[in-house]
Amino acid sequence: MNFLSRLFRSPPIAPREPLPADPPAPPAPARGFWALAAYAPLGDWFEPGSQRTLDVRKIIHDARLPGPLPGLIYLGLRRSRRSRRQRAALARELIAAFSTSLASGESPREIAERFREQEARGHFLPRSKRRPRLDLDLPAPAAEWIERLLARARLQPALASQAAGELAEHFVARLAAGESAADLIEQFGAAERAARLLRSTRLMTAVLLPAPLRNLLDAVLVRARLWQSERADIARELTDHFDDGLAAGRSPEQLVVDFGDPRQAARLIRRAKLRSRPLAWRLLRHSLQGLSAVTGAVLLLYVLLFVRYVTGRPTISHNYLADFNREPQAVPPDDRAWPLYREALLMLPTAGRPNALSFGTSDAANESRPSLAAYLDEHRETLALIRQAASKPRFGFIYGDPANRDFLMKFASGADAHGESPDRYDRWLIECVLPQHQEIRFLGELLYADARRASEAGNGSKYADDVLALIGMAEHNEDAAPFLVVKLISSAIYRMALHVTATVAAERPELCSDEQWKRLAHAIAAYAEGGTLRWRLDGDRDVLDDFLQRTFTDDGEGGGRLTPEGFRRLYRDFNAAGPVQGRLALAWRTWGVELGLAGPLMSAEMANRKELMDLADRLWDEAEADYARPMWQWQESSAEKTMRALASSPLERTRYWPVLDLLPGTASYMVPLVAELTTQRRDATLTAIALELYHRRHNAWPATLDELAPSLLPAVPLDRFTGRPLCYRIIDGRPLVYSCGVDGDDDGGRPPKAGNEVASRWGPEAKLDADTIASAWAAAQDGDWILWPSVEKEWAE
Amino acid sequence: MRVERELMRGAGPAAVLKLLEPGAKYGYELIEALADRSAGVLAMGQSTLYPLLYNLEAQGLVRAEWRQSDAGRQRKYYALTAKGKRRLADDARQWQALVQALAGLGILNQPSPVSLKGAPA
Repeated sequence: MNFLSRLFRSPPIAPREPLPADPPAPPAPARGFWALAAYAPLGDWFEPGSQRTLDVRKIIHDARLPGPLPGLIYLGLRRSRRSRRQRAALARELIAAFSTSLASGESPREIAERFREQEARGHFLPRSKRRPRLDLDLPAPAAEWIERLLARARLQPALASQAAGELAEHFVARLAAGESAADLIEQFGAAERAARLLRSTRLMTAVLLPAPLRNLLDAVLVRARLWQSERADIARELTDHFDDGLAAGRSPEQLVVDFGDPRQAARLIRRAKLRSRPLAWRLLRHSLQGLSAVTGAVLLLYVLLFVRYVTGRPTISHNYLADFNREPQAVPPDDRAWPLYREALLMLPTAGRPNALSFGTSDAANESRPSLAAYLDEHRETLALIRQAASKPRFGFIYGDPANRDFLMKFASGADAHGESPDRYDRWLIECVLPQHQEIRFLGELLYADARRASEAGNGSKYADDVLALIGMAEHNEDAAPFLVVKLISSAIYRMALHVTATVAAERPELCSDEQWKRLAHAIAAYAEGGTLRWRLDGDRDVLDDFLQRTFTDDGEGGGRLTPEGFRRLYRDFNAAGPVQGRLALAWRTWGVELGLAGPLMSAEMANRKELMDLADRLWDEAEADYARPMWQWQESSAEKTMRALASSPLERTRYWPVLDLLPGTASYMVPLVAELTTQRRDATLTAIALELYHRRHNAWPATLDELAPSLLPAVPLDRFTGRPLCYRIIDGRPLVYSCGVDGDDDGGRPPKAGNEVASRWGPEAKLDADTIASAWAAAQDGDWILWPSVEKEWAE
Repeated sequence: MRVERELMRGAGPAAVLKLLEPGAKYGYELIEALADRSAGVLAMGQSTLYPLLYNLEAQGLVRAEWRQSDAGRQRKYYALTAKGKRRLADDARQWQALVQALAGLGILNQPSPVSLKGAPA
């Protein structure tokens, strides 16, 4: 009997329920991060603008096929039993085929009908998932048992045919021997369990064992978790053993008892078989086990760190703004300059501000001069108010003062920078905008222009009042707050006063009387308590301290760890790239920051609050000590060496991230350099006034600057680059005051080839090799820095 | 009488190797032979024997081979390798020494032909 020829009949695929004729449209494509993670191949995750090439909803949506085709494709793919990648590929194939059919004139309905028919016949199933249709010449219970078995066993078609044949022959033989189909099925037990054994071993003799033995074998093999070839070998051996036992007259139940504990058997068999596997496999297994153990340990550690991280809460114990407010609040209201500055600023429109510094150019035909002059005339009363403010003894700005509301709304873009009362005002110090200082710089520019205009008009009194007001304004900023930015604004306003004084002393010395020149000289010399200018930046220290108290926990002894809020603020307020740079920066931002995964690691790696503050204080102290010396004695600061060494190591850069981002601006030589260059300009301006007074007394210029001291100057000022007295020459009957500059050579008062403006930006020689910008200027070191009379507008950088 | 598991763990491999000494045997034969020749003392179920055989095979002490039996059926036969023979000889010497030592201590009834190391002559 050719049994197999009867077994399979056309069609080869068991038909299924067809798809609905009018299926709903597929859901809209998913959006956002999780869609990216789910539907983008791994390699696309770090590429911006990923196309999510595995998202079939997006693929179908983008194809814009007419209905009902999108819904049919979507439902068909869901029933296709394919992987995500295969479904995406199949979707593209179907869309291409449908598009071709539509282009050839076929209607969507016709295409849909054909697709439904093919889909129902299983054409889109993977070949391995297509079930053969059996037509067994057996009683219904037996045929159904075999069908269920084969359906669950999911064998290759050829193997399924062979298995079906063997089973059918066995059943036919047993039925022919007089057994009933019901008894047979009962003996064979659940088809599902037999199917698992068949799928696991591909061994039909094992399936034909009595149910207790087959179940025992199945239990052992399932627990042993071996390769398919190993399972088949063991199944074959144990099946033979059971067959021998049955042939010897033992019952299946007796053989089950004789076998022993199947769990123990599975465990021992697995252990023995693993020892027999190839050396390479065992090495790989041990490696993977080691890797899994390490991964597990790392994950556990991460979880612990995560819990530690998310439970961190800061304790805010100090209101630094209250400290800043204490002193101005103690100033009597009539002695406060800020209310008058504020009034002046509110009187001036924010739009259409002139470039007041254009009055400083030597170009008399400057187009903006008429409009600037008109602006000064229009705001004459405001200028008087500014002078009045500048004459007040203290600045008197109070943070959180409700009186500042209109000003801050106008100049701080409506920022929440005002409070209901100073006493309840408590903000992040790093967030405290400083428009009061930035806007005052504009008032200084107006005074500067007004002084230049008064000098051209021959009005010495008004000129002197404007210069004195400029110095007063610079003093107010110098006095107001110990922040670097405020000190730099103060220095800029002071340099306006120096420049306009030096310019008039050179071009219109007759404008002022002896008394007026002396008065100006005394005011200039008294700025910031005189001497070599230096700034203490206690406010910037407080900014860091305040930041740390709001972003770290407090262990009660000054230490504490980074909190989630701290991590977010670090990323926002400090270097946006964070401590991770280069190619990993994007991954850091995406995974580390936006998902917050790096937070626990950062919290563990970053130095604690006390260590950060101690490091910052130490570096600030070292920098201040190193740069307290005059510029000609400067060497590289140990603070800068430390910061460079820390920044060169990725781990250290992470560990001290806030300090390394904040300090290079405030603990480097650039801050004292600005102070040194301002000192140099001040000394040159005082020398210029002294020269003018000397000339008035003797009707001649002194042969050397030594002749000015001590009657007109306390001592001959020093060249900040060399430590020697400032250079002085009389050329064509006019005096020239200059510095030897960075090369230390007296070039006879010749500016560098690139111009005096370059000379005005020279740094100390000790820094040239360390500073890449300075190295670019190295070629322009030759020459002198002309200080008076100024040869170019190099002061307003 | 059944032997304690720890004792069986030491005796089982030696017993199986000894049974394979005359020639190759398959699992059912080994189980039957163990039960018969040890009067049931060293009888073990399949859950013990087959893992033991797989272990011996992994150690290279026995070699497995599918071949046709006298009854015409395919069976998996286990045979001693050269390494297995050396191990059997070693095990036999150790068991012999152990038995004599136990007899010397009076645990076994057999008189001790050798004195125990360190024991009085």
